Amino acid sequence: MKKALFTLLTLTVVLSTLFLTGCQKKADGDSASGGAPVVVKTMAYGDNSNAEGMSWERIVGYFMDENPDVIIDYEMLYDEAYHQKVVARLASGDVPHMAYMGADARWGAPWKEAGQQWDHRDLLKDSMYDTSLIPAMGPNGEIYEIPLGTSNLTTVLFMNKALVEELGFSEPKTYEDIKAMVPAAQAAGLEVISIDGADGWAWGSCVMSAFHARTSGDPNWVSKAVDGQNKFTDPEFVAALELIDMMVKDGVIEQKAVLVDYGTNISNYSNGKALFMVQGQWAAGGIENPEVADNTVMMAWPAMPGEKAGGAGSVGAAIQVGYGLTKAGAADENVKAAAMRFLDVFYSEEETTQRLRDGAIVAPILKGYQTPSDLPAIIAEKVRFAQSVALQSDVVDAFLSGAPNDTLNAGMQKIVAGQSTPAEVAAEVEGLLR
Amino acid sequence: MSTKEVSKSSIGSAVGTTLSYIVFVTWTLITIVPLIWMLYSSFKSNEELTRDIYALPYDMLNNMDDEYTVIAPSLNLVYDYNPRQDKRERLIIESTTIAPGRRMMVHFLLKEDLPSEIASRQPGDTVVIGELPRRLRREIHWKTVWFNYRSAISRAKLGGKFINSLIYAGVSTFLIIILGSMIAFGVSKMRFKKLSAVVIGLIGLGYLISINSVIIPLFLMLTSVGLTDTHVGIIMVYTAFGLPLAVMLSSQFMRGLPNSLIESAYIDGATTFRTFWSIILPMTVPVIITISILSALGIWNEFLLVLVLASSDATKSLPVGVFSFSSLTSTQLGWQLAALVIATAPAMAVYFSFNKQITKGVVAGAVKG
Amino acid sequence: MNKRDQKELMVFLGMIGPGLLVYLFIVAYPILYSAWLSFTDFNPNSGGDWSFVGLLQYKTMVEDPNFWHAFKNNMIVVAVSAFGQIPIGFVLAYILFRNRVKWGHFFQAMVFLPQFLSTIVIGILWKRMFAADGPASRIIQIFSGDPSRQFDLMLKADTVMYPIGFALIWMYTGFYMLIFLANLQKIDKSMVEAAKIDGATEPQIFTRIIMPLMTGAILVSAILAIAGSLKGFDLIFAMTTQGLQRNNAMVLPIFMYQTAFQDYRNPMRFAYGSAISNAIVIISMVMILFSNWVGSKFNAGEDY
Repeated sequence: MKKALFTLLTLTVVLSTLFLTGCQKKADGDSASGGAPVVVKTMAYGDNSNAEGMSWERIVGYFMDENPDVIIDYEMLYDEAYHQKVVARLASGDVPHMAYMGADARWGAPWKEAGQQWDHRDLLKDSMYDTSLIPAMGPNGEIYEIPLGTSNLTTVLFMNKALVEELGFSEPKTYEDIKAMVPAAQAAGLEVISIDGADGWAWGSCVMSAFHARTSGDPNWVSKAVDGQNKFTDPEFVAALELIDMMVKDGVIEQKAVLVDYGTNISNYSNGKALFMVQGQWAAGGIENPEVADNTVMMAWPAMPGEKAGGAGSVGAAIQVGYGLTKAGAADENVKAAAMRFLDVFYSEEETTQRLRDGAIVAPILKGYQTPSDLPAIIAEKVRFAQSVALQSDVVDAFLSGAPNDTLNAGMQKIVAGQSTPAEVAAEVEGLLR
Repeated sequence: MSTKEVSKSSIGSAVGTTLSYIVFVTWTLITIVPLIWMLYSSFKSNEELTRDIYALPYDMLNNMDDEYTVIAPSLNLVYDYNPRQDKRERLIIESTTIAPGRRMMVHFLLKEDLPSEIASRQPGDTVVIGELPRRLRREIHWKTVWFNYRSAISRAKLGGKFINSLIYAGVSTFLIIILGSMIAFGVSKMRFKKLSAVVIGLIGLGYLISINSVIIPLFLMLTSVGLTDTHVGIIMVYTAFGLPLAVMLSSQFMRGLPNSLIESAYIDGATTFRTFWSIILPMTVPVIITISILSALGIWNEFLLVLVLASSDATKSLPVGVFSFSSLTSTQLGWQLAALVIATAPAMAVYFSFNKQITKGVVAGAVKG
Repeated sequence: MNKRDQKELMVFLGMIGPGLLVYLFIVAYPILYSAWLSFTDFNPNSGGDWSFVGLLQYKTMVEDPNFWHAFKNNMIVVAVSAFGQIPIGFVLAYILFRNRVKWGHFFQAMVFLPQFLSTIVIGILWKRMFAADGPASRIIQIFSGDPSRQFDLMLKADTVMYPIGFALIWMYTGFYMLIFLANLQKIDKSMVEAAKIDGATEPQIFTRIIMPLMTGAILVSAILAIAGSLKGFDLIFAMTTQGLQRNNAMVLPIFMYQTAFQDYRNPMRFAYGSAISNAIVIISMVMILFSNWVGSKFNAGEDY
């Protein structure tokens, strides 16, 4: 045993030393050939099983084959892990040249704080991008990243049309129409609206981002509240929280939703276990069952009780995130040129079309883009829906971040679980914000 | 009276025994059932998993009647050959049952291998696996059975990450043992008591600190010396954080060894290092085994440090690779399960084949000598 | 100091030097940095000016109800370890030691098995276990006959620690069981036999002979358990979804992590996070000294 252990350990050390020196050699060899390639340090967003991640890898591979003088040295992470790594890298000064980022309180905050936002306007070719479709992200109209597409719609109601019709109903116009479906749905063992209620963010992004506009009549109510013009304890906001309470009491949303995670929500809807699903527009690509996907109608939350005219038909919409250069990347002319060359490929018409087909975006920001006629049914439906959106409202976590936002999200979960009241949640959020 | 007492105690002991069995059997079930579920479910397609998450796998194992659709080349295809070099004509078919339309279950059949009737089919036409030549049928059969595993390994590059995990666990454990037992020898068998107490205090403090609580300053410092995203940096951190337990266990053990051993070695003219290396260290093997198992296991399963410190595939370890399938919005549960099995299987294999030695080894050093 | 002493000191330094250097290089800087940071308002992300703010971060901390919620949960985790894992581990070890069950070796292997699983695997499996209509809910539904009942303990702040405590016991008890078993096996069997002949009952054997010999092992286990549960992060993090569940089950290391990594609104988040992480170390030191003190009351002769 003793001898075996020692041999084993020695063997491991020897082998790994060999492996390590091997890696070193390989790295040396890489840089020796082809002069000195420009290395673009990148933080990419995606994981190994989603379309975002897979297409990123494919595009980088393709680009580096065509451009041996550029190395896109990327690190791909997703969700919490991504945000965490951004914080760690920025705090340590290991700033990437290019990254997946946004301009809001969630996706832009660390970059802004680190002073790494960089204005892309001069580099965006008018021949390629329709700059009127890219919203201003800074106080003077700066554009800090190239959005993957036009506004990201976050409060989308997906309706399984066949299932609704089977129960003898049609597309709801008001909340009462949905409420009327509850008895029939319960009798058939179906959920009415499915939501991934275990995720705190889903309540903020997919529900409240529309509701605050409905009850206040002001699509920008949240940003004004964060600026101090409104208070979260105002009756408008409390009324929006009360809508959630009401939906649970009416059985439109079931209490058990608070135990459902993202994947389960989509698979419930996809398996015809729910009449509706509420999620962001990006979920369209995840509905796997073709029968359900082809039968899906996308809509805004219908007219809610007590809603004001100024907020009618509102859909939460945020500036789409995308890739952009950081100040550190833009400071080096070679890196900047190489990165822009890459982004030209990444945002090319064919790649953008693929992104549209994958269900990741609503509509491209490219100049004179022609939507192909052979899109999958659900993607075509999404394009139709996006064009029909009457009013875009603030997405909560684009403005509210940190502890107040976490508290709001968890507070809505508490309301659903019957552990807190709308007034209490509103007071808690307001208290943390100021 | 005495018989009464006996029967009372035997009833008591029968109850006790029954309770003992209930506890152990329940415990076993809680431990083993999820693992068995994980294993068999990793052979189910995502569609099967969403239909019924508990059912046994069927679809992917019985795939002879699977229908495929002929598709045209498209941008999002991932080729399993190099299309730039290999220009032979191929029929591209996609499964209609596994991830249809998502270009995940795709085969590139060489037209020269196919009967001309099938080879001439056009995009949109159907191909049934049963009508293909035998060799292709078999190939597709196995590719279907192992679909989740193939995808998990190739998409997350689990091969390289597996090797990295071995390196981290192996090298760090080796260093922890050597450096740790050297310190332990110093503090337990040499006469600098005050200095030793300081050293023990410093190192004991490390036992109270976890990697995640100092991850930011750690990252800051390693970035400034250029050690992030390197094998060396990661190994150093694992070594440093592994030392407290190693020093604690082995110094305790060495204290129990008789001083006369060392004295007689000195009399024979051995240097201190020689005494340590050829007399003390071999005697410390029980505790070394304990430390090896605990350290290697901890490092094999550790996640956060590599997540933060490593940024390229060349330095990432297996848990990080597995995690890339388990994020919030991951929709390929089948791949995730396959990745979990890949990460769990080696540790399980080691555990079950060396169970006796491991259970003995884990505590050999913890028993007061 | 004479020449021989000097030489011996060099040898001593040679023995402890390499390890200590690696250790100090990696561990000392972060500890000092985080001690320093916790007294400042420095934000490493934006860099620039900073000043000493004294105990401000610590003041914020003791006034933060979230800190006390996390502290309370952490104490529950410590209690689960000290009064759950250790006694259960002891009982299981005792059952195995007295050969009360057949296939003892198999059961022992099963109880220890969770130690060999990675936290990611455990997190995913347990999360699934407690999901809506997941296995735990199914069991409740079968027993109550109500197909809509759900396992909702994870959702309430006052019950969330039950399922988590259950998972913690499942995961770590095996380790303590092995420690106790090994110590039990060292006990001289003839002592037990002799006591039996003298007419001692099982409980008497246990309390008079076994327990006194085990206090040392129990104390070591307690120290390991306290240190482990105060810095423990992985299992609870992996078992909970961000939102209500994780807030409910918040423990200090997760609170620290969320503060430093996610509370973008707070420019002092790194400094505040450092204060929390220093508090964790101080709390565990206090608790370990306390358990040492308790141990010394029971067992004056032995020192650990």
